[in-house]
Amino acid sequence: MSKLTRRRLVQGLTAAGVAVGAPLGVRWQRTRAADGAKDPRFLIVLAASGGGSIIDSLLAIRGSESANGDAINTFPDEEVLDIEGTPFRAVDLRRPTVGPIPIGFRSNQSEFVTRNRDDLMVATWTRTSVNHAVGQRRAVTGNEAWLGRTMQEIVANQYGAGFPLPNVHLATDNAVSERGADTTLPSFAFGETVADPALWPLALDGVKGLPRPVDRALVERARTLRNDRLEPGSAFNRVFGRSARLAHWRRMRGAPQAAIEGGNLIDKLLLFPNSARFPLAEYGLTASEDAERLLEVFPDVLTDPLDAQAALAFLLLKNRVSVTVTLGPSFDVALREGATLDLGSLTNGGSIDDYGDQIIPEGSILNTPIAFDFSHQAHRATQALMWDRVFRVAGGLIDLLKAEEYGNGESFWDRTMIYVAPDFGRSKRRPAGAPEFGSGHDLNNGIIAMSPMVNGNQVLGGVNPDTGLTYGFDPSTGQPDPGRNMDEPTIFAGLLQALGVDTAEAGLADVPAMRS
Amino acid sequence: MSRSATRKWLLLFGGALATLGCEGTIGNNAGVEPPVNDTVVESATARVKFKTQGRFVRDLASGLDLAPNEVCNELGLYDCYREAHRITLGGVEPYQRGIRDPLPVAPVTAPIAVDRVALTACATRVDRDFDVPTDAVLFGDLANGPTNDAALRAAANGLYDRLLRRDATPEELDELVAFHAEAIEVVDGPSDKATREWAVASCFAVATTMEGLFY
Repeated sequence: MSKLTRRRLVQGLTAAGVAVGAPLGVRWQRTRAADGAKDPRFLIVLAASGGGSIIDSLLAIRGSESANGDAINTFPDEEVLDIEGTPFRAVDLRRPTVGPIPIGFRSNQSEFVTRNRDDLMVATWTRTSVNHAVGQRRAVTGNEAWLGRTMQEIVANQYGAGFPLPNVHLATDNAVSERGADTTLPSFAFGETVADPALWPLALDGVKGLPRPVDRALVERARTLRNDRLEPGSAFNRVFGRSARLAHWRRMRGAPQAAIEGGNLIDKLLLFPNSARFPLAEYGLTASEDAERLLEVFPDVLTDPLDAQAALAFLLLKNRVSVTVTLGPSFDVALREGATLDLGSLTNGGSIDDYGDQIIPEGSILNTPIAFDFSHQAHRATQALMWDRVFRVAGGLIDLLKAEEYGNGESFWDRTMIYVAPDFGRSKRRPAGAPEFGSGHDLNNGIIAMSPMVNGNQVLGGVNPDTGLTYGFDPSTGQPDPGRNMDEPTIFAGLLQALGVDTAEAGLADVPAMRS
Repeated sequence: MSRSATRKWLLLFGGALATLGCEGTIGNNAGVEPPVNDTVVESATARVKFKTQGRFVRDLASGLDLAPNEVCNELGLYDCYREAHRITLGGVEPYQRGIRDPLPVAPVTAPIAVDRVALTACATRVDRDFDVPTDAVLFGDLANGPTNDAALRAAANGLYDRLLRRDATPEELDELVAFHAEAIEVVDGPSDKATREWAVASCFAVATTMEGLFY
């Protein structure tokens, strides 16, 4: 058996920290970052996947306001609602189809805006790419404004040192969940991918809930045997022990695993109550104490991946597992339980139209096949359906977080920001007067931030009703500036500053207009 | 290539073949104690890869003589790899999750998921062997006969043979045999149960060594 020589010790330490190169980061920097973890803020990135257009929601334009009302994306006057006491607008629609998809829907923006107006802020910007993946990534890196770090990584680095899984990515098919470029960050700041919110919590304990129980004390001894006595002397370890991947694996088996299993996260994060589909009790498991409440707030949690993401996101924040979570609609179609696009098999409430075809019940479609990007086929309906979806999920999270006390009379919501991150905007033109049309990608758009920490009930910048293009604002005063376009680094900086992050190190502009 | 260079290459290649043949002979002689090789050369690049895309689970199934769908099912319903922990264990799911490549870095939950899968599979193998010793794959002698040093040592070597495809070193055998005392301590005294649980925990420890997870 090999002996631990001084040379081997130095090699091991070097391997653990440096050779990992970079992709794995340096976890022990956790202590350095811990100072910033005392007063955490929470960030929810909610992707408006596919291109949520700001002029189809809070900055909607009435046809009568525009010199080119028929040529650009404006609405019939009566469809655009003013929300009293706010600069925001809302569009509530009802349509019999989503373009070629024969499912009717109703959308409602006004209720959400009315309820949450004081915590809503729109900031306009003009992007640098109309490629989906590039736009998504730049939405969270400010076009690599701070060494390529994502906002989630920055927040996790500043506030997440004491949290078991500081940065969790639930939106798996969106580049807002990609790893940032700065490999010098401590590894705890990088995102943990959760592909299935329902079953992932089972991976939070190696012993609990197994079909054949094994004594935890014996497993712990077996782990010690493996880690400390079998592995170190093996030929495999002597040949490959310096591997960065092995060093990373060894680290994860240590403090991170102890924090996850020791915190009994498996029982805190299981979303679903005991049922035939999730027979938790049979395996000695219990669902989160919030499981029933989550079913009320997110009723489609069993069939809608976004609802499931939102439910787990809440539990991750509430249980102080994470400081940032990333979610968003997928690029896959989602239908309400019982509905199917196979017309022949419809049995649940369908009706027959004048041609004898079966109609799928209104409201059966939850997500279009490519999220907001289905605007290529049917802009008006897609934007309406998807904004309704984004606002419904955001509203549910806000209500839940408001009801959860953080401490000292503060709620979790008092410390949380929801950043609605679109890939980019949509083209502003349409065929003359067309009520439905297809749109392309456009650099010009705006973001929505929701938080008590932002400059609420404000539109920073504005929109030119004759072109449909948004314009910028003075970063200090927030005054609209029709001659200015806001760039990605400025909005990125403003959002981080509202979260209490000092961006001076990155040399980014100060944007006091975006914070409360 | 010059004639001298060709000759050198052939000599090197022949030497390598001879070495491989020699190792193959050792591996095929069960019961013959392998020579201790202290001349292992440390890899300059140390490049290893996790057994992604289900390799870990397939190797585990093969080693324990279980069908892939018998390895582990969460809540009795969800295949541990295909449904429950696919992405965590380095798989892909492009159709519904949009994950087209294995995660670039193993997630923090990966070692826990690995432990969970291995514990379940090992418990299944052990219980089958102890319940029906005539059909046993790994622990038939322990199930049928007395629990003594030789039986424990043979079972431990069987674990290395089946899970890591090599014989255990004497040190590894000593560690696993000594571990039986810890099982007795945890289970409150020597008993068939203690031996059964030792078998589960030993199987788990060997199966989840990094040697069993990376290649």
